[in-house]
Amino acid sequence: MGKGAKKRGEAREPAYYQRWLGDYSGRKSQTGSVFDELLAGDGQVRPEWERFLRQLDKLRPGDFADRWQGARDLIRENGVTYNIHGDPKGGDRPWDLDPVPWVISESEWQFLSEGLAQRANLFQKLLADFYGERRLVRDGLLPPDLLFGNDRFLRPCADLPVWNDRPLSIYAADVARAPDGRWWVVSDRTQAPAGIGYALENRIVLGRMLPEVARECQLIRMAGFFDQLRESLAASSPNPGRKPHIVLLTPGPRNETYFEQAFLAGYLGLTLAEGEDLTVRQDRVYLKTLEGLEPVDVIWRRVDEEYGDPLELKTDSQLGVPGLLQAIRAGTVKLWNPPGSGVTESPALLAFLPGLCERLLGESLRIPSVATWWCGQEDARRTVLSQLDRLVVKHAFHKGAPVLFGRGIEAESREQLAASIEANPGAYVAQEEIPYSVAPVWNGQGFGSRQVVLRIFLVAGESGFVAFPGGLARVAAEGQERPGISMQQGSGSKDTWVLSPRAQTEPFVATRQRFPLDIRRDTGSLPSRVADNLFWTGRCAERSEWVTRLLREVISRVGSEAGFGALPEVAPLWDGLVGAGYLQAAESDAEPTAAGLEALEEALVAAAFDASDSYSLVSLNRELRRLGSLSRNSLSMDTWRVVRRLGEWISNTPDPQKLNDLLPTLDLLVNLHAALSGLAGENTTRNSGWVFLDLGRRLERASQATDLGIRLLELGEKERSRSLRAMLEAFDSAITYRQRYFFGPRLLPVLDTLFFDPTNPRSLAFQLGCLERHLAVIAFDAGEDSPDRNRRTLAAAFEEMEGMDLSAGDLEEEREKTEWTRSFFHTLQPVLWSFSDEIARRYFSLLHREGFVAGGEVTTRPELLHRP
Amino acid sequence: MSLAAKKGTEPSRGNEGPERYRIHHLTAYDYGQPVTVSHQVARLRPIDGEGQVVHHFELTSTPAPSRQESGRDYFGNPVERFSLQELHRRLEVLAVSDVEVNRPVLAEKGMGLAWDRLREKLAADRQDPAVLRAEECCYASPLISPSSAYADYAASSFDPERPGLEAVMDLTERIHEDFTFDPTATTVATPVEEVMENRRGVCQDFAQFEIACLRSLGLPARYVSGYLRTDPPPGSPRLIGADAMHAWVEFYCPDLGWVGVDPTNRCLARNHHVRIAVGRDYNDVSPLRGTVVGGGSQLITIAVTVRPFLEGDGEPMSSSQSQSQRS
Repeated sequence: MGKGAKKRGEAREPAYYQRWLGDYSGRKSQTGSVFDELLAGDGQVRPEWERFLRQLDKLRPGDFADRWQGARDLIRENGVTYNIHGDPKGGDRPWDLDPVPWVISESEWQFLSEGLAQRANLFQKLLADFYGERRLVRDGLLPPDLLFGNDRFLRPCADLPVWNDRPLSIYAADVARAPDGRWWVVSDRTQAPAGIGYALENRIVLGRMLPEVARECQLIRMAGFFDQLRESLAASSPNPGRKPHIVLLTPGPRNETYFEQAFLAGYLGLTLAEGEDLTVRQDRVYLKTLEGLEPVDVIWRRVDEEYGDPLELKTDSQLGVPGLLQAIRAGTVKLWNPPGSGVTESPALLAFLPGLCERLLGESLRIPSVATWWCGQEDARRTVLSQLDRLVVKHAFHKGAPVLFGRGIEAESREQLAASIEANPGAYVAQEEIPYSVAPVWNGQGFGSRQVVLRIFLVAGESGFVAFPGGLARVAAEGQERPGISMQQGSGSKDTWVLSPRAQTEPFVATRQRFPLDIRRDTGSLPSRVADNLFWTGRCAERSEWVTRLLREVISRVGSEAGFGALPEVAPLWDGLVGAGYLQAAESDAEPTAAGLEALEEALVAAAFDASDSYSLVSLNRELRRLGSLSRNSLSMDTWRVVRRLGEWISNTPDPQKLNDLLPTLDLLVNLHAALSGLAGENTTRNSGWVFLDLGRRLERASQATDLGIRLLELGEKERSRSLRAMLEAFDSAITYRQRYFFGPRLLPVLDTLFFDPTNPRSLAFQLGCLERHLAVIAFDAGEDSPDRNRRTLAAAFEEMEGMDLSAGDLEEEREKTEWTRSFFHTLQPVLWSFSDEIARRYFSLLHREGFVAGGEVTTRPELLHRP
Repeated sequence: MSLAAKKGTEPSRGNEGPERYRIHHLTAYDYGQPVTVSHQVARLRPIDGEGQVVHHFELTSTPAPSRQESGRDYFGNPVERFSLQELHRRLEVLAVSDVEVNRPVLAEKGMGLAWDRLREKLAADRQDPAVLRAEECCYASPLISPSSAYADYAASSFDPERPGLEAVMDLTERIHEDFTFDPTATTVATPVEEVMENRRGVCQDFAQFEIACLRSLGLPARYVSGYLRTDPPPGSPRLIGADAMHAWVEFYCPDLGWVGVDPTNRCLARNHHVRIAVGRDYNDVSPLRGTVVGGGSQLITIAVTVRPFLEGDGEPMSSSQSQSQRS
């Protein structure tokens, strides 16, 4: 440090300057005057940035760019996304991160976190007044419009017993720096602040990309904050004496920030639940699990407040939990934050905060809000109308409403705007347009500069609000002057680094020691919806693998020199594909004409590639990805990566010119499937989630095997023996057969290997054994002691297969045993078919939705899931 | 202009005596599929106080609820919240009220402050929680957005300096003249804008339209749901709204308090109107709302009977009696 200071004294440009800041323009590029985060007025690098740059400069040339490439791969692989409403590209937008953190000194951070904690305390008191005595309005400190004209003031929530008891558990504010270097609050989030998970993800990515830089800069770590968050969640349970069950209530995968909700739930070990996973009975919230209803103590709500309870709030909400408000009234559940807390987000409130702070806290507001005029007051309205050109006009209460910039507006539009304000002044606020500060961004070679704004998160702890050290910085998009406050507006993000003067060895808040410390082996109860999704994920994965294997075997035969003359060799496979609709062609015994051969080739390509056919391989894999995404929370990162690659494979494969070009692709897919089942087998705890995943897989494999068996046995004797080799290949059992028998494939030995041998993991008997064991586990979990009908049927079938010796002394015996097998398959097939329905009825029946009734109409939700 | 002068509007006589009613309100849901769980919120208990005395109230649900709680909502209305966990295909909710109504005769207090000085007066007296409650009813609500179109309609009744109640009664009269009662024209969800355009509808529509007019002038008005005495006096036409829930308007005047006016029947709401709940619009007072698990299609039957209290009504009701009231 001393050396650096000395050097700076000698030369204006430190050694690193040219390398990183050669192109940096900062404030120079800005038309107006803005604050430059990096360079002070005299062109000197600010001290905290100097610390950062000195460490960064230790990287070898090219290292930063290489590591950034790796980090971006990580973001893509991790599937960090942000869903954009109405995005034609399917909504999943990869997360946009800039690799240069926004560096902030600890003293500055201290100021921000204390100022925002004051603000959070102020909002606590405001909420208590708004939903209580309303003294502020009665005493004239606040115009009544701000409550009574504000549809965020949720009257059904007024009698919740929370408002006097620190209703806010989590709060966020957007802060920006004005040209004079002062911080301003741009907006407040008291309802259900988003972004904390993205901030965490950003830190994880940058921490991995620049570990030594972060360490040497003495970056304040975040792990302690998340320990605190977890403890605060647990401590807020209103039901002492039981281990709190904490749920993150999500609007579901279509929500724009679903990724971070799922990510946070996973990181913090919370149950991720949608509204339909919860139910209220006897004024208590329960999670619908496989084992039945399990009480919920704390809900971190990410469903917007007015959607929280269709019984008392927005009646057409399909995202909420009917009866939730009554459960809160009964005091059985704690909400982070309670519905109704959004009223203090109203932009109009900013105009009155200084006075309210003096009155309620007896001190002045430490961090000012951006200057705001509420047009419902005559003086303010006149001020606004006289200087509309330099102001930003917003809706007084609605955060999502369009924002109009007076600057550069045409005279005609300005008059229209003025007329709208005059017509309904109470609905408008105008704010000063502050030019946000600029900070460095990576431009591929060095630093460029963009405008930035920072969202900071605070969580209520035992001794007041604690701020997340850092936050989610938003960066103006290329060509955009300022970053949007909402990610919907397409801005990018940054990690934020608070640098400490002290070395960071321990997390900044030590975890308090708590006893007793109980060892657990269960992973918590499984929501029925997740079990349902896992079951179908298993089925879909197996079906996709099965179709891939059959297609590969068919194509490798008919793509060889024999051409379609080899069709009889794969007859059962071909007919299986055709019969189930995976291949749009005639059955194998139809005589193809010469012109028909080309059509067959096309049909095979289409069976793999045709995205418009919902039975094609590409559609199956997309469905697998979709189902997998619904159970993201229960899948490991590695598993998810494989599922994602399977789902996206088609877009990375060029259209094949000839049939044989398909084979390498199918080989790759088979490998990916092997990876998937390997991960499920070796990397997944044997909890009930795994049981349902595997149940789906086994059931599918048993059904497919039985189908193929029947098709084989229905063939004439000659066709049968011609297709035995392909059968062995389809079951991946050719080697086993060769090791066991020194003669070529014969019917009974092949049947034994593929169907009856319980040691072959691809055989039918093996699947039945697994199914029977799984059923025993989940029946036990569900508290049942008598084996149900399905289990008995399966056990009997398994026993029958075990007792069958397919050895044959003569032709007669061979015929008899073949016939027995054929009729056994025919009996088994409908049992397997009905089995899936029965599982759904028994284990997923709690999933029925609650519809709203009033005025003679029932709103029943549409089924979200399309079953493969 | 006085409403009492109109012929054939029996309830608007200024000399109504106190009345006591026995009211049965049955709501039945028949579901196509069994219902496993049901949450219901009922606003069916008459308001106690403000000129009403509730001698007896009983809410019965068949099947019986597993949990039931009474409370008050934001607007001070009594609320019953209950839930059912018993499997059922039919839900019956029966509310039986024995209520006495005796509201003061307004004529003695005059026609109120001039309408154009009223808002100022409210702001000045805001310290009084009751006044603040009234001021709240000057603002837009989920189903009623004030606009200049409503103000234009109302304008001819609101000459400068005109006493508030007089102007409101004139407006009530005009709505009654200009609008046609037509149950086929609207549903519960018809927007007020459409009601104004078509000038047809039922009590809910007329009440919400009048509220929209008053709020568009900056005046405090709220929505009342309740019942109307139905037996017509000899030689008078039968009042509309019989055997169903009724809705009307309350207007706040600092020197008179809340005054009920009924645009459907062009009268003041006095002792023939029984108040169940007040709110900003229908949304705040819906008598029974709920969510069910299962259910499928459903058929709703509603039967309301309002009749004078008779000797012997003091006995507890048997269920067969309550069935017989359903005609």
